[in-house]
Amino acid sequence: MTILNRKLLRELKTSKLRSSLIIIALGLSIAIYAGFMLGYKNIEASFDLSEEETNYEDFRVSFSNYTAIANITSPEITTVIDNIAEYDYRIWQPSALKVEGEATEFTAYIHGVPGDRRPIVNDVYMQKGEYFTSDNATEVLVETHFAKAQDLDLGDTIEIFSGEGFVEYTIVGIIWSPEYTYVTNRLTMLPDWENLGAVWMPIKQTQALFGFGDVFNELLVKVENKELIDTTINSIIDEYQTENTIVSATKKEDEPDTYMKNADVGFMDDMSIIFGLMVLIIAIFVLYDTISKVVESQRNYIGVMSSLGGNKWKIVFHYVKFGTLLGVISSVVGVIFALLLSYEFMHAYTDILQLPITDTDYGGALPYFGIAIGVGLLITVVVSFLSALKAASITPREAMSSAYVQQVYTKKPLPERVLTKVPGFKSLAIRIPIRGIMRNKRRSLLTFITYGLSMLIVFGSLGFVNSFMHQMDYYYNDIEKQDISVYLVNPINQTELNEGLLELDQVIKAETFVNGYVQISVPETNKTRSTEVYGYDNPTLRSFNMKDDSVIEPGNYIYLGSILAKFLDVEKGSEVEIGDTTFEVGGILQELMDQTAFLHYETAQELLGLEGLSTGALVEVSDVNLAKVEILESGLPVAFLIVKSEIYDAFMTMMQAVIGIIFIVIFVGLLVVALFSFNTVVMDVMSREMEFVNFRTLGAKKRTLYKVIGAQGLIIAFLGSLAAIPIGYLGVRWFNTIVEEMMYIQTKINLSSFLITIATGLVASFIGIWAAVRHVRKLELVDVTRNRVNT
Amino acid sequence: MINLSEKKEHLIEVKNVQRIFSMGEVEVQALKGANLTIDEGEFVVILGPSGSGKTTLLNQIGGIDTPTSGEVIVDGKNITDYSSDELTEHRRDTIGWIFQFFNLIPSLTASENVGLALEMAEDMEDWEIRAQEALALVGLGDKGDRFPAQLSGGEQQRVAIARALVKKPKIIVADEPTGNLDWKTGLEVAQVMKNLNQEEGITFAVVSHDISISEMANQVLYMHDGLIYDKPQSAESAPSAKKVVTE
Ligand SMILES: Nc1ncnc2c1ncn2[C@@H]1O[C@H](COP(=O)(O)OP(=O)(O)OP(=O)(O)O)[C@@H](O)[C@H]1O
Ligand SMILES: [Mg+2]
Repeated sequence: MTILNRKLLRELKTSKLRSSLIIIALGLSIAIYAGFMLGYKNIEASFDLSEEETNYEDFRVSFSNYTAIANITSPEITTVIDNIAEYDYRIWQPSALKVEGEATEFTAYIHGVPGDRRPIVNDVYMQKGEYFTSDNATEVLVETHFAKAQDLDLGDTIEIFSGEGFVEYTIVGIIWSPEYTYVTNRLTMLPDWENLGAVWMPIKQTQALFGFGDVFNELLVKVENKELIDTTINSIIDEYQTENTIVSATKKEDEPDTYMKNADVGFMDDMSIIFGLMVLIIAIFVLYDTISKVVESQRNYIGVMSSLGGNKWKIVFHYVKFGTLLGVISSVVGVIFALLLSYEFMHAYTDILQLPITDTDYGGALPYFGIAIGVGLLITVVVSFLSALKAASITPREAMSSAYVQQVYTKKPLPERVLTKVPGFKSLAIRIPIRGIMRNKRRSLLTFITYGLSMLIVFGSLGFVNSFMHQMDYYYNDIEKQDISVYLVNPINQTELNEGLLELDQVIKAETFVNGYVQISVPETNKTRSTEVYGYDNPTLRSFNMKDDSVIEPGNYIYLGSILAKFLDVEKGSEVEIGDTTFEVGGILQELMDQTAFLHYETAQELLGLEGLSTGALVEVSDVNLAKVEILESGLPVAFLIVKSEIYDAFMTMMQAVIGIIFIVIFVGLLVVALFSFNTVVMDVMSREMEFVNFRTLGAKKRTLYKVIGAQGLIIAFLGSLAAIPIGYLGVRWFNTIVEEMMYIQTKINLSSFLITIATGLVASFIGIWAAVRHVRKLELVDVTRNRVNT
Repeated sequence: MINLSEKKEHLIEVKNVQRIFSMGEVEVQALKGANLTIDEGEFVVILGPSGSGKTTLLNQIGGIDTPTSGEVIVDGKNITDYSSDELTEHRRDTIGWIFQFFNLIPSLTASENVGLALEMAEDMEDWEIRAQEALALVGLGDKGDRFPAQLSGGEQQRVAIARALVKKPKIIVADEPTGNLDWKTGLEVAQVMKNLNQEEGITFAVVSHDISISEMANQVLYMHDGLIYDKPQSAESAPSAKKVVTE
């Protein structure tokens, strides 16, 4: 081994602190980028595999009225419509259910599926128990999230509301379905992991329960050629739509649950890139700062090598090797942590979703590992090359001169002149750090930016949670003011419903509405989507947060949720079509999960063919639990109730899980802040070691050292926070636009988040200050002054 | 026309050299037209008060700095207008440097510090043996494996000398090589240099106030205010007689 290589290895070993700072910074960014990417790829692969195993649909057709099964079996739909590879029919009916021995009523989604065979499309994954024995058994399969939340097991019974009373069924299986990855409520579009009971039973049982004949209302289709999906959908609608029955189709990716899933996966994809990139940028700064300081501290040796006739490039190469070696070690560390992180990430995620089928996609993640390592190595090489080039370019005469000559002072910096006028700021403990910061303005600026950037992660995550919570509160306090939404099995006269509800003791106020699913398309484009529309007449129990304060007006005006509008790529004044009717977009709403469309009551009634009728009502009640029982037993044809407070709680439960993941992010952010501020303070002190040695030989006490080092750390922390907050605010806004596909969120950040961010920076600085003081105090004065041995 | 007497060239020639440092508005004239010649095999000692320009002069010869005006010719090459790459080559091939602060690299052992000079010159063949020989020449044959922190000041300076001579340079330039040592250790170091001069024929240009070194010189030069003289310009710059101690 050459002498220089020995020098390199020994110095790497002695300067453990510096080397580990570099390795941690770079390893962390490799781990975060590659680890999140791998986690995301694994989750995506798991989703794909679980859809494959359950033979998940390409699209789903809903019939607004129950339709005879014979309609699609004779003649066979496959002979009538092209491009259908496989299909199955079923009943999907919302209702209410009770768990054995409990009074609480839960929202139930009943799936009536063939009892004598497994579903061909949208099969279930049996986690526990067996599929039905026959069409005649009063048996049910229960979705795993609900079963877990309500502690249900095989052999337990549940009661399902038929419209008239509750009927008992025995649980024979606990299942998982890709339709309920997130357990999204089809009406609220919000996930509900505890209170939404998705239940499967033989279709014959469903028909009997609700008193239907041999009918179905949902058709699940897998196509042969995915490119022709739109044509296939259109021919199904043309073929089966009648005057009474509206047929609408939802493609897999537009279904609430898949939509949620894709948005979530997309969000993770964005997050791993943004997050990895952010940490990488910080790592670049850390590396630049640390490596250039390491090289600078070797100025004397560079001078020696140069006076011995060492060629400039040889010296530069030596430091490039140093950087490369660190890069390689960091990569190894990074890859190990990436694997651990992806494993943790994947498991946290699949645990939340209770995904029983998991898969990995190391091959798919390989390029990201390549990128992370490649960029990491490139950075260390470039950074060490540049700093070595700079150091080796000074003449040996300059290099050999005392360490102080590089710091040329000709006048006092302005902040010092100003600050020292303030009483209490006259001491050298303040002057020295200010001069230190002003001496190298470019590096100080870089330090503040990096410091700010690392605090950004903490601030950004907190800010996002704040904004989200604000939006939730806003939505459930100012937009939805009802306590319960009542949905009917079949439409009834609107006055009848209103009066029927007001008769009840618990009901204070009732306002009816009409709703249904329609297919909205944009003329002259291929943009089309199955959408739920609501008709309201100036309700007081619901507000609309409309852009430019539009109000819902009668006539052919439609008001679209911002996410729906974004999907259709329309704005106020654009035209959309529902069936043969053209509507003008009268306004865009900015609410939470707003993918719904709103019309004036009468317009909606006409559109849905329900003149004078309503399909549900918003009610204000005195006691929610009493009112629920009263409404269900009122004799009105109630299908199910949605209780606002339950939805809110369900969402909060989910958010807690998500916040768990966000806390991992915040924790990493804290780590980065701590690492960087620590690095900044410690490295700065190390590079000015001689200065502090002089203080000590002059008899400086521990307190004085703390003062001098502390003042500099605090100035950096303070200015860093100042930089972090405006960038952080913009960061949160940007964050909110990323989730725009999922939900609309306004940017609102709590004061406490500002304070926590600043406190984090300060605490991290304090740790750095403490470490720096310790370092200075541990220096052997004899060695340093005698030999200039700086390691 | 070149006549025969001028055919025999001096090894080092400094002709009317000026070196001006400008620091903003202030100009410091460190050398004001210095002249000197050194022949092969000579041991030249330069004396002079602090700030008189001694280090600056050595830097011109040793290829660490270039003059503002004038000419520097070393070993038949005019290095006055050398680029930094050419100066590097000059230092590598012709010069061995010894500094007042020994400037050893703390993470390398004595023999590695010496070997570093060979590595820098890309001449690594048998470096360990050659480094060992060089250390033996300065009387440190048994301490090659020690790190600088494990050596005394005099030993460290002898390692620095070994490092300067391991390439067998024509010239060794030393700036106060004993300035950091007590007189006895200084004497040992001086003895090592004199031996090298006599036995290996290496030419020495040494800045030193050490009486034991100036006694070895076959040419003593006196610097004062940026100029070179052949006799002392003031009392203080003469070697102080009172400190002479002999055994
Ligand atoms: N890099 C520099 N910039 C400005 N002035 C300089 C520089 N180097 C030397 N000088 C000035 O040039 C003059 C000669 O300096 P030099 O170092 O050659 O003195 P010296 O004779 O070696 O002194 P000493 O015995 O104290 O080492 C001094 O006045 C010094 O201040
Ligand atoms: Mg000097």
